[in-house]
Amino acid sequence: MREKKRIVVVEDEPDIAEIVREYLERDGFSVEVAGTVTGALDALQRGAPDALLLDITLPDGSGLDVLRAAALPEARVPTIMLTARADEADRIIGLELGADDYVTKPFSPREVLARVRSLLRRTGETAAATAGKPTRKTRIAELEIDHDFHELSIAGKTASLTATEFKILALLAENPGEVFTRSHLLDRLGDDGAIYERTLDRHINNLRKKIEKDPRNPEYVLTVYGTGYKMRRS
Amino acid sequence: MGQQSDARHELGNQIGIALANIEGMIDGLVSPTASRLEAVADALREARRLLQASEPIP
Repeated sequence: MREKKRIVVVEDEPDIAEIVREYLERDGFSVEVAGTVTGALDALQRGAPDALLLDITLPDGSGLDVLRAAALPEARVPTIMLTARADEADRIIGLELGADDYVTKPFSPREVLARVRSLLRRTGETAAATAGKPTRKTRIAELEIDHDFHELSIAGKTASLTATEFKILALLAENPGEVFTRSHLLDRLGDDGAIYERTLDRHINNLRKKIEKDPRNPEYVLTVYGTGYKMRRS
Repeated sequence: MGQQSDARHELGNQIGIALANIEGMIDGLVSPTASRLEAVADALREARRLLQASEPIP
C-alpha cells in the first residue's frame, strides 16, 4: 500500500483548521496545518504535498505569496483556494499561479473534503490508470501529450500546465473534432460540480495562453459557439 | 482593507467557526461538549454583534 497522501492546510482560524484536519484525517490523509505565510512556506519546503488548501487572507501576508512558491514548475502543487470572494478567486486563477479550484468562505468542512477528493481524483487518475501500461502519447500538429507522465511539449519544448489544464487538454486531444459541451467537460473531468462553468472558461483561457500562438485566435482548442469546445483534427 | 471589509471578513470567520463545529458534531468528528457548544454560541454572539454594529443597508 502506498503512503498516505499529504495535505497542507493553510488557514489562520485555528478552530476551523483543526476541524478540517479531522475531516481529512478521517478520510485517510496526512495533514499539516499552517496559520501564516511563513508557516506555509516552511511546510512546502519540507516537501511538495499532494494538495494544498490555501487561505488567501493571512495575518502576515497574502496567500498569493504561498501560491507563487507552490506553483514553481518543479513542485507544482494541486491547490484549492479558500477565499471570501468568488470574483477574487476567479482573478487569481486568471493570474495563472497554478490554483486549480476554490471554496468560498465561510465554508462547510464537508464541502472542502469533497473538493479535495475531486481535485486528487483529477490529478491522480492518469497516473494510477496508466501505471505499467505502454506509453500513451497523443500528437496533434506541434503538440505532444504524454498521458503517462502528464507532460506536454510544444514543438519539442516542455510546457508547464496545471493538473486541471492538463486534464482538459488530454480529454479534448484524445477525441479530436468531438464537441464537448461545458457540462459534458465538467462531467468527464470527474467533477462533483466542484468547478463552475465560469471557472472552466478561465482554465480554458489559461490553457490557450500556454499552447496557442495567438490565444485570441486559437488553432488547437476551438470554441464551438453556443455549445462548448473541441480540439482541431490533427 | 477598509473597516467594512474587515467586519465582513470577521463575520465570515465567526459563521465559519459555528458551521465547522456543528457539521463536525453531526459527522462525529467534534465532541458536543459544553465548551464546544459554548464556542459555537460565542461565534454566533460575535456574528450578531458585528451585524448590529455594521452600517444599516441604505
